[in-house]
Amino acid sequence: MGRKKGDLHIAKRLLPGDFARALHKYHQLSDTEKELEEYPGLFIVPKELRGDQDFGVKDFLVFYFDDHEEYELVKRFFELPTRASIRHPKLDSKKLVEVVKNATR
Amino acid sequence: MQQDNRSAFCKLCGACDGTTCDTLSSEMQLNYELPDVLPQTYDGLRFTADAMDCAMPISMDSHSGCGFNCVYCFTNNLTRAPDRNPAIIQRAIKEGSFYSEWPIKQLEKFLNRELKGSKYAAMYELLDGGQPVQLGALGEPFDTLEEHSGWAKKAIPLFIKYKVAVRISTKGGDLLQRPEYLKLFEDSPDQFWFAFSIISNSDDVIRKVDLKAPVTSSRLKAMKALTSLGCNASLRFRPFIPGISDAYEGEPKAWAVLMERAREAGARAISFEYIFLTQNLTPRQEQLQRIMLRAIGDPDFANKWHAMSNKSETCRRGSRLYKYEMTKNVRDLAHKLGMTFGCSDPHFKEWNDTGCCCGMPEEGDKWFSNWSRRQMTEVVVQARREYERGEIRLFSYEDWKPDWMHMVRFSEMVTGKNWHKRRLYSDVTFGDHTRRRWNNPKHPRGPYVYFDKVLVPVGVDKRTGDLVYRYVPWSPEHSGKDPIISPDGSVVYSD
Repeated sequence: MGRKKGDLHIAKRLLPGDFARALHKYHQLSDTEKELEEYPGLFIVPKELRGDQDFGVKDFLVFYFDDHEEYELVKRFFELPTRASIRHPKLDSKKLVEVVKNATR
Repeated sequence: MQQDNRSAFCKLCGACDGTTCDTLSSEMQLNYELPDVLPQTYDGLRFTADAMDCAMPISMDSHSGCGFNCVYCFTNNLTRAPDRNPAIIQRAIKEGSFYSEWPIKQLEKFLNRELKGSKYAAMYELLDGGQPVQLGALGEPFDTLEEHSGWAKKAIPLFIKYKVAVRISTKGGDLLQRPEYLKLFEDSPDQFWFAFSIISNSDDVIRKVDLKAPVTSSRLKAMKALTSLGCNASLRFRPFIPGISDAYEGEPKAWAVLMERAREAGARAISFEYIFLTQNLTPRQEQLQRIMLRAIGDPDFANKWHAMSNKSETCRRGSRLYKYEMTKNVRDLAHKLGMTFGCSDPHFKEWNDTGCCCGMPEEGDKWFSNWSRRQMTEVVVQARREYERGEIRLFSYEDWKPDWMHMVRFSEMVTGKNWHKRRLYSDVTFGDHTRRRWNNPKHPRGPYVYFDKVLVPVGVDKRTGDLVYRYVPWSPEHSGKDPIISPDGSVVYSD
C-alpha cells in the first residue's frame, strides 16, 4: 500500500513540561580530571596566575587576485567600517569580488 | 496622560527647569501619546548578558521600554536607554512611537520551535530540558504599556499551551489584581513564578523612587491573590538601598517587616542584592540619581559608596564588610520564616541555599527545579558546600562550561562599543569571551574579583590551559586582603 499525500504521520512532540529528557546536560556540573602546571614560586599568588587568553584557533582564508584593482576594492571594503557581514566559505576570489561589488553598489 | 506624568516627574526631580528631558523629547519630535497599535518591531527574545551566573539564561520582554520609570533602574546603564543610544530616538521618530512591541506571532513561532539559527537551536535545547524562562528581564510586563496593548493577555495562554515555565519579574500589582489578569493563570497556576520586586516596606517611601509603579501594598495584594490561585511567588528584594530598604524614620526594622508581609502573602523565597552604582552617568541619570539620594536622605551616599567599592569595577558594589551584617540578617530571617534564601549580589553569593539566586528549589518542583546548573552561581555554592563538608573541590571552566554560550556570537549578546572592537570580536562566541574572563584573575568579571576572593585560582590546568579555582571562605577579619595559598594548601593573607 503506497503512502498518499497528507498521510505523513507526525509523532506527538514532547514539550518542556513533559520532561522530554530526564537527565539533561544542563542539569549538573562536571568534575573533569585536572593536571595542574607546577607553580614556580613557593606560595601561590592568585593575581600572578593567568590562564589561556586566546579565543581559540581561527582558520585563515587566503585569496589570490589576478587584478590589482579588484584586490584594492576588496581590501578597501574590509578596511572600511561597514555593517554588512560578508562571508563566503569557498576560496573563490571572483565570487568574493562580486559579493563586495554588490555590497558596495 | 503621558504629558501629565512628565510634568509630575519634573516637579519631583526639581533639579533643572525641565531642559534635560526637554532636549530628549524635542529631538524626538514626538508627543508622548501611545499609538493605538504599538509598532511591532521589537525583538524581545535574547540570552541574558548576565548568563555567566544566571540559572535562567533565556529572557524575554514584551516591549522596548518600561512605563514605570524607577529612578535606580539598571537599564539606564544600557543601550536600551534613549540617552545612551541615538538609534532609539531615530527609530522613535520614524515609527512615531517611543515604545515598540514584540509581536505575539514571533513569541508563538519561538515556542513552536519554528525559529532557525544557532542561537535558537541553543535555546530549544535548554527548553527541551524543562528550563524556565524569564519574562520581564529589562522591563515590566504588567505596566502602563501592557494596559494599553494587552500583550500578556495573549502571551500567557501560549506559555500554557506550549508548557513552558515562566518566571515573571514584576511590580505590576495594580493590573495583576484585576480579575481578567488573574483568570489568565487559572488553567496552570504552578507554571508561573512571580518575583515581586519590592525595595521598601513603605508606600510613601517607594513612591519617591518607583515613580509610576504601583506601591508596596498593591504589589503584596497581587502576590496574595496569585499565590491563593496556586502560582509561585518570591520577594525580589533588590536593589537593597540603605535608607529606603533597611530603615527610615518611624520604621527601624522596615526590611524585616517587609519580609514578614511578603511571607504572609505567600512568598516562598527571597532574592536579595544590594544596589550597584556606575560612575559614568548621563545628564538624565544624574537627575535620576539626585531623586534617589533625596529619598535615601544622604546626599553624599554615592560618593561614600564609590569610595568603598573596588575601583576596577564598572558596576560599583560597595564592600562585603559593609554588607555583611545586613545580608546575614536577611538570610537568617528568611530561614526563620521558612523561605529559601537567594542572593544575586556577587558579595555573599556563596550563601545561596541553591545555585539559583532567584531562590528556586533544587528538586521537587515540577516546573521550577530544572534551572541550569551550568553557571557560576552553582559553582560557588557547590564549592562552599564541599568546603563545609571538609573537602576542597577544584573547578575548571570545563566543569561548568555552558554549551549554549559557544553557539552564540559575542556580538549578539553585547554591544561592541565601536566598529573596531566589533570587527575584532566578529568570530568570537560569548563562550570564548566568558572563558577568557574565567582565566583572568584581574578582570572585574572574572570569578576572583567578581565574587571578591572566595573563588581563588590555584593553578593552570595543563590539559586545557584554563585556570583552576578553589573555595576560600570570606571572613570580616580578612576583608580587603588577598588570600595566598601556601604549599600545604592552607591560606594566608597579604596586607
